[in-house]
Amino acid sequence: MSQDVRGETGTRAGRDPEGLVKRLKAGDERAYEELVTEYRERVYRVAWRVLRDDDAAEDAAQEAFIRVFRHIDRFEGRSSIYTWIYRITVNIALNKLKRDRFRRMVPLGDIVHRDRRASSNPARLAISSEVAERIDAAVQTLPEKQRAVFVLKFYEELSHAEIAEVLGCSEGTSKANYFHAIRKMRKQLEDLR
Amino acid sequence: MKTRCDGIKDLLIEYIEGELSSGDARAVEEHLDECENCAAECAALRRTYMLLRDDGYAEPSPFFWTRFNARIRARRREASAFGAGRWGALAPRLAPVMAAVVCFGIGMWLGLRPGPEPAGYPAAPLRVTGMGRGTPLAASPTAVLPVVSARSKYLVDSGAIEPSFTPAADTLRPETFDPFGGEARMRLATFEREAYRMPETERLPGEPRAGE
Repeated sequence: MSQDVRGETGTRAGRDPEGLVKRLKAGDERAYEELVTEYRERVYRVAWRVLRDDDAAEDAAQEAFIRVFRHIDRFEGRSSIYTWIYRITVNIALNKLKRDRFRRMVPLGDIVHRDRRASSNPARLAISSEVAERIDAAVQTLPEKQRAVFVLKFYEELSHAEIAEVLGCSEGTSKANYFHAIRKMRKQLEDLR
Repeated sequence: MKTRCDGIKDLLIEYIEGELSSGDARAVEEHLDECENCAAECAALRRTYMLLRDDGYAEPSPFFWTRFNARIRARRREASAFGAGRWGALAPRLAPVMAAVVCFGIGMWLGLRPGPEPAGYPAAPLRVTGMGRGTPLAASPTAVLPVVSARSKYLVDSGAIEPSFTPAADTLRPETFDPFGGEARMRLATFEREAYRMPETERLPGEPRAGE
């Protein structure tokens, strides 16, 4: 299925996000399934890249959808539905990071080792481990906001205007955080060839 | 002072991502052609970008998504069951807790409700002829006393309380106001009670503070 970052996947939900919101508000059960199917990959991907952990990402992604369903009446349509879902997902993931502060107290190598062994995703286990582990470790050093901006810009390819909307900051702040994050990553990974 | 190289390095991320205007991009390229340091920095950044692309994320399998959707359905069912059935089942257990909270609230209200108006509220220019708070009507039928304080006047004017006795101009004129009327006394007492019951903590925006 072809898919871009805005969610136009060719599905009914992707083609008509406003219609989807209306049906959700009306309590249409099929609309819930469509929303999950339409956005689950992006939601999970963002959660995973912020948290760098399979189980935590799955839990955060599910929580994001539950929250979307619970609060759909509060969605006023001032932003697009995907921006709103991103915002909820990033908030949940960042809160999880804060709650799991102890993870930062454990040596980074241990975290990476544990996460990889515990991964329930066979495809992930097959990916070149050294580079991925170094990236894991480097991302762990980014402050929360930089991490969120980095994920949304680098991997999700959102514009700084969109990121500003998702994170509730200015475009300038988003840019500054992104540049800091990229420069940090460059330093941390410079010895990898 | 910022050198030319610093300026170029600031643009490298946007250059690599293709977000520079064609003029800026050309300027960066020209500089990179003649500056080894900046060219090396640009190459290192490009290398970082390549590495980051393969960050270990792998698309989950279709089975994962089937399970994912099923778990969300289950969590939704659980959430709505909690809202209806489970809440009902929990209610008897929560009832004593709720009762304790209500009793505590009433106790707090009784303990914290304001007493007589604190000293310091200036008397309003508005004055009632013939009666004063706590002054027996018969004792001072013609005295001019500051019955309506700045606070109670403010509360009435702002609509925060609906007094059964509004000190409208005509009722305050000695010739139309019967200080001995039992009904007038009752209404004034109600008004004063309501005005003073409004706790200070519920001060309205713009309301004058005591002593102001």
